[in-house]
Amino acid sequence: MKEEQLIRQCRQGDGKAQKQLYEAYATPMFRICCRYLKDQHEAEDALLKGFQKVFTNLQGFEYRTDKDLAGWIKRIVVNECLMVLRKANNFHLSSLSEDLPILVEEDIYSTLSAEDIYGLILELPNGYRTVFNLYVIEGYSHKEIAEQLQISELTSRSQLSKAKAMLRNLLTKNQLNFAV
Amino acid sequence: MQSDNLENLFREKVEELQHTPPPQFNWTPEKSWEKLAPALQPKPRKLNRGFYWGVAAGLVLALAAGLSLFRLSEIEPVQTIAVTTVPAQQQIKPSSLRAKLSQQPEIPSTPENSVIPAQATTPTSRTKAFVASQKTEKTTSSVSENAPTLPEQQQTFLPVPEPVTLSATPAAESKTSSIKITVVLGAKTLAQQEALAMGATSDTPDLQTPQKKRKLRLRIQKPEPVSPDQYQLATTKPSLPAIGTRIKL
Repeated sequence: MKEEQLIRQCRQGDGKAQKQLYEAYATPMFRICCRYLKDQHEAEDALLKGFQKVFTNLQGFEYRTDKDLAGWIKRIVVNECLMVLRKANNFHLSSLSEDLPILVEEDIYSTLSAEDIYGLILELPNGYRTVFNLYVIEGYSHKEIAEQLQISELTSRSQLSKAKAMLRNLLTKNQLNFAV
Repeated sequence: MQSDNLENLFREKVEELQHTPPPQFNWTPEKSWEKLAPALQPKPRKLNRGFYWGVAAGLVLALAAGLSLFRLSEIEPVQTIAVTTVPAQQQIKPSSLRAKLSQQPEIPSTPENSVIPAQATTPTSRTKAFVASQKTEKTTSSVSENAPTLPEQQQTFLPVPEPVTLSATPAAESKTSSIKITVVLGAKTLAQQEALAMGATSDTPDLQTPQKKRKLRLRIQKPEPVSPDQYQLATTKPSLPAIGTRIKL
């Protein structure tokens, strides 16, 4: 079934179509939630709230391409995660520091698995991880991150810099001999 | 490797994992759907019945209060009027009434005839109706005047009052209603006043009238104007004279 038709049926309150849409996007969205929140229950709550908003606001969604729907759902889920983080107010903010050069040896880089990279991200503190996720993975600009997290752009840059420095240290600790 | 390359590396590796759940979590999409599905079902619209009942009760109370206040403001003290239908037994004409009044016997001028012993000859109603008062400065709201009594008979006899004629024109068909008028007479009679004017003292035995309160009560039969139709309803409510009206005796 095409996504456009699926969306139309979901708008009419068709339970089967809703379940189909949910199953298509639940796992990647849960991955995103885990990347921001680390805790399974918090991630699952954010996922459920996000999908509730998706089905509630589907009437106002303007479908153009399949990527549009995925990006729209992803934005809603990320926002839910940020709301959880804002409520907890556990951003680890620090002042701007010098942006260190990141040097990675290409042969070592190729040996890293996706789960290793994912595990390294989860080891970052909340503030660093949030800015790193938003900037590197989701592609937000510092201005957008500053608006989303209600911080200054300078702070966003600082958080990203520190996140990268910490990732380098983590790689060193894990005896992955490459610099980040 | 530059910073941008590292960012691309992390982005690509993360995107590879997006279709598989994290291995450290025992999460399945089905379990989450079971939690989500009840929340997606359309909820029946809740009717806030309590609110509507409250509004309805408030409106009813306000209407009731308004009506009661409106009625209270409109109600005036209502006098109960007894309505009776009395067929006229006899038609009284004004000419016959005047004739009756003129035919009443005149009181003789002699003291023996003019003054009748109150206890012996006067009917009880008459003695009640006319009681001379000796108390001075006794005034009531009704008309007061000096009682014309004779000095010789003051202690034992009561003077017979002259017949009272009212100038009210009798109606064709009349139903009488009694009006009680109390006249308080002065303490000193005309004879006493004359005797005092001649120089007698108040110790004179003739002038010692009993210190008894005297009142003159007259029962005046006032005809009530009724409709000429004798079977028509007529009210029995007497129309009393206003306070302070002088009645000619």
